[in-house]
Amino acid sequence: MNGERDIITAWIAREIVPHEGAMRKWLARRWRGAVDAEDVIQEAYCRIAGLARVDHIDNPAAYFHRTVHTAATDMARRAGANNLASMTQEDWFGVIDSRPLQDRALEASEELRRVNALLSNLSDTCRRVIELRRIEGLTRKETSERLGVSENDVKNLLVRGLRKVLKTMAEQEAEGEDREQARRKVQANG
Amino acid sequence: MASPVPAGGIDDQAAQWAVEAAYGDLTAEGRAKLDVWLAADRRHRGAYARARAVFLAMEDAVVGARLTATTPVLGLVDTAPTSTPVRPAPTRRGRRMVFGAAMAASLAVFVLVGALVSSRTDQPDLAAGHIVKLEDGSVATLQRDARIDVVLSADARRVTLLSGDATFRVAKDQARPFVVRSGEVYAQATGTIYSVARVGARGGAVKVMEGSVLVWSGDQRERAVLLQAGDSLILDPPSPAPPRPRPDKAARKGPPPPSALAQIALDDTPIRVAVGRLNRVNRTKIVLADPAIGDIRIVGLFKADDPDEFARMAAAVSGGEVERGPGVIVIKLR
Repeated sequence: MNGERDIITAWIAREIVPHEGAMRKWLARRWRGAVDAEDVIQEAYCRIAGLARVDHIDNPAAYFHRTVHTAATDMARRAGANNLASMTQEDWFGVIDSRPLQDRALEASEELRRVNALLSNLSDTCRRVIELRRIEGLTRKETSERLGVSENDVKNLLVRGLRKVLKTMAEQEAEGEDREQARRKVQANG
Repeated sequence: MASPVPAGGIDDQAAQWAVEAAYGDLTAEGRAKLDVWLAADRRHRGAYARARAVFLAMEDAVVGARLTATTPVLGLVDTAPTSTPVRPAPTRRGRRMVFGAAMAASLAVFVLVGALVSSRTDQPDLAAGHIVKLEDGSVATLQRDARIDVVLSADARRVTLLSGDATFRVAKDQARPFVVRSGEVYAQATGTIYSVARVGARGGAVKVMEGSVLVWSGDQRERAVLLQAGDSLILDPPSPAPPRPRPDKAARKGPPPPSALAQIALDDTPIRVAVGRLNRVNRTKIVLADPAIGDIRIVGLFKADDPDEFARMAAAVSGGEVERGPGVIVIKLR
C-alpha cells in the first residue's frame, strides 16, 4: 500500500472525521437544501484526499470548513443556484476551531461522545475482529480461523460495522435539520 | 442535484472497498475494479477516502476502548490508594461504561496537561542545533551539550537522552515504536515531532510539536499520559525506594532552589502529599476536610505559589469543592 496515502488517510481520520458532524450541521443550517449535503461532503473528502501532503495545515478544522464551503459554492454555482450568499464572520467563527486551550476539556468530552457513538454501532464480534487485526496483527485468514467463521464473514462483519457508522454520521445532519425545522415551526406557531 | 446513484449506495460500496483495502489483500483484479469504480465519479473518490478514514477512526476507537478497559486507569486519578485493574465487563453496555469512566479520568489529566503548556517557553530552536540522522530515517536535533545513545532493533527504536535536550522528528514505523528515555521518564511515538529535555537526575520534560506522544515514568507504562501537539509535560519522579516522597526530606533542605519553587510536578502523587508540598511554601494553607480526598492521586505540573489553582484542580479531580477562609483553602467532598 502507498505510504503517503496512508499518512493522509490517518490524518483525515484523526483531524477531519471528528469535525464531520459539525460540518454537516453547518451545511444544513447555512445552505438549507441548496446543495446536496452528501455530495458536498464527498467532494470535500475527495479534494482533501487528493492533497499531496498535509503537514502545512495548521488548523485542520478550519481547512475542512473552507474546503466544504468552496465545494458547496462550486456545486451550487454549477447547479445554477442563485441564492448564494457570502459567508458572514459568524459563519466562520461558528465552526473554526479557534478555541483556547482551556476549552480542550469540552472538546475531549465531545470526542468521548463521538467515540462512544462510534462504538455503540459495532457488534461485539465486529470489535473482536478489529482487536485481532489491530492489536494482535492477524490477517483476515488468521482472524477467520480464530473466530471459526469464513473469511467472507470476517469481511462482511467489518463492512456492516463501517456502513452503520457511515450512516450514523450522515444522519447527524438530518438530526440537525430536524431540530432546526422544529424550532422554526415552533417560532411560526408561537 | 440529480444523483444517478443514491448516496447511500455510494457509501455502501465505499465501505466494502475500504475494508478490502485495509486488509491489503485486494487481488490485482479487485484493484483494477476499484480503480474503475474510483475513476467513474468524483463522489466515489470522496466516499472512498471518507470510508477509509472512518474505518481507521473506528478501529482506533475500538483499540482505544480495549486498551483503556484492560489497563487500570489511563493516566492518573485513582479513587483508591491501591488500584485494582478494571476488567472489561462481559456485556457491551458494561464495557462502554468502563471506557467512559477511564475517558473521564483521562479527561482530568487533559485539563491538567492543558494547564502546563504555558509554563515551558524555552522552546528549543531547531536551527541552532546539531543534527543527527538516525538509520531509520528519524532526525534528532541536539541542543547545546545534548548527548544521546541510540539502539535500533527489529522491534523497537530506543534513544537514551544522556544529557541536555533534543528534538526528534520520528520517521513513521508502526512496527517499531520510538522511545526516548530521559532518566526515569519515557516518551514513545511512532511518527511525530517532539522534544525531550533532562530534568534533574531522574526526570524529563517532553514537548510535542506534532502528532501525539505517550509519556510515562519508570515501569508505570500503564499509567501513561497521552500528549497531543502543543502539550508539554515535566515529570520529575521521586527516588524509587519510598513510594511517597517524605515530607521532612524536602523540609530539611532549607529554601528550595528557585526552579523547584516555581513548579511542582506531580506524577501519580496522592493529593495529601501534594498538599504537604504546597503548604510548606505558601502562607495560604490547603486543608483537606475529608481524608479520602488525600488518597486520590493526581498528575500534572502546578505553580508552587498558586495554591488556589491546585485546590481547584484537586477538587475537580476528587469531585469535591473548594471553600475559602482567611488564610486557608478547604477542599471537601460535596
